[in-house]
Amino acid sequence: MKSFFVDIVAKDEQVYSGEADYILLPGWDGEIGVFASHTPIISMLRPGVCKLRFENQELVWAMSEGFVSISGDKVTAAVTFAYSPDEIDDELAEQELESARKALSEKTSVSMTDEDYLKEQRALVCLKVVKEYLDE
Amino acid sequence: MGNLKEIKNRIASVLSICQITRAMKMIASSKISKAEALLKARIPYTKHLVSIMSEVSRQTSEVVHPLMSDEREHKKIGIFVVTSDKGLCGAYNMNVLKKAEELYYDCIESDCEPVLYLLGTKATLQYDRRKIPYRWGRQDWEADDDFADILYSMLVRDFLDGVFDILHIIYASAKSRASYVVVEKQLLPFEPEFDDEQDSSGNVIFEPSAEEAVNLIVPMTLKQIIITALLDARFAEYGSRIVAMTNATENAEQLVSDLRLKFFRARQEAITTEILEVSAAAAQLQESE
Repeated sequence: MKSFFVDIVAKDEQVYSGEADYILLPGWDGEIGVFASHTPIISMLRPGVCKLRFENQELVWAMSEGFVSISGDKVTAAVTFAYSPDEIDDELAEQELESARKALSEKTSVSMTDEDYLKEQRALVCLKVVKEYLDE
Repeated sequence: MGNLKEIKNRIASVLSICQITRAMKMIASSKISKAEALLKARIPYTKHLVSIMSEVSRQTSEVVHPLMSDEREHKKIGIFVVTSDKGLCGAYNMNVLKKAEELYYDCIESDCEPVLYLLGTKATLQYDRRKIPYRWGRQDWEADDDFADILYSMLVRDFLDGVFDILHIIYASAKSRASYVVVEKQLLPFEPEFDDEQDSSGNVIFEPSAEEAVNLIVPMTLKQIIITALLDARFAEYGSRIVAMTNATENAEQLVSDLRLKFFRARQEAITTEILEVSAAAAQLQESE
């Protein structure tokens, strides 16, 4: 299988930089699966699960919102954070979820880019990744 | 003998100063590596955001995010000053405050209203002393994301409420470990930087749309600019402290060696006088016999 290069940069660290056979990203309008030689595209990312496969190995991250640009054989994702399952503090995520939901309940209209809405989604993704992938 | 004791005391006090400055230098040296690493870790992310921002701006001619709108006349000028909490870092704070002052008086001269935001003990103390009111002041700050988020929310709220029409941030940006420059940047309304190196093919597909991307990328980039400025200022502060404390330690060492010389001379003088007195007395005794 032809591989391509992936860079995942969080705001304060380089999360992944290397080859991949396949990557699944949480695109704004639905998941984006990328194989080598994908069409050039820039997409917004919503908080979600990111999976990367390379030589029978699979890596998983809980990703926050951000952007990905795919051009030629290079994929660069810039996100606020990307945590692997063992990096997530689930108690903190529960707290965040609670405070975000409280803030949201006081709002009448909420857009997709609302700070509290994103906060809720980020916490949900962290909890989901911990639940589904931590024991593997 | 009084003179000798005095010199001895001075040597002891200079030596203790020397110890302090050396310790300060060592603390700053150990912190600077961490500060540098934190700052450098931001670079790839920031670069990527800037390149996407350029692409968004290219594709959208008329998108105006509320934080980018520059329709109001610049009557109220926000000045955000970043200084350190602790001194002993040479002219670091002085240089930043001088620049802030220039901007402040420029504002007053051109009939605008300056709105001050002061970060760091050194800035708040200075303005308290001179009884110049400021809108917001904060001492004891950490250059981390939580704090940057707080700043971001406050500044955005004030901008949208019309507390200021334009906001400049003034901070020291490190050029290397040993040198820095004081920079002044416009923070709001937000003006995107352009990435000239990028090829402007313009054929990139945007998902879902460039218009929506603006809503997400503008706050992300702004927060990033704020945290980078804070980290940069901290890095420059440690660098400046290392330089200042190295000089202070060297000066103290020089002073100690000068004082030691003076001490030996004074001691020798005392001995010589004593010998003279003894031999004079002996000569007198011999004569009288």
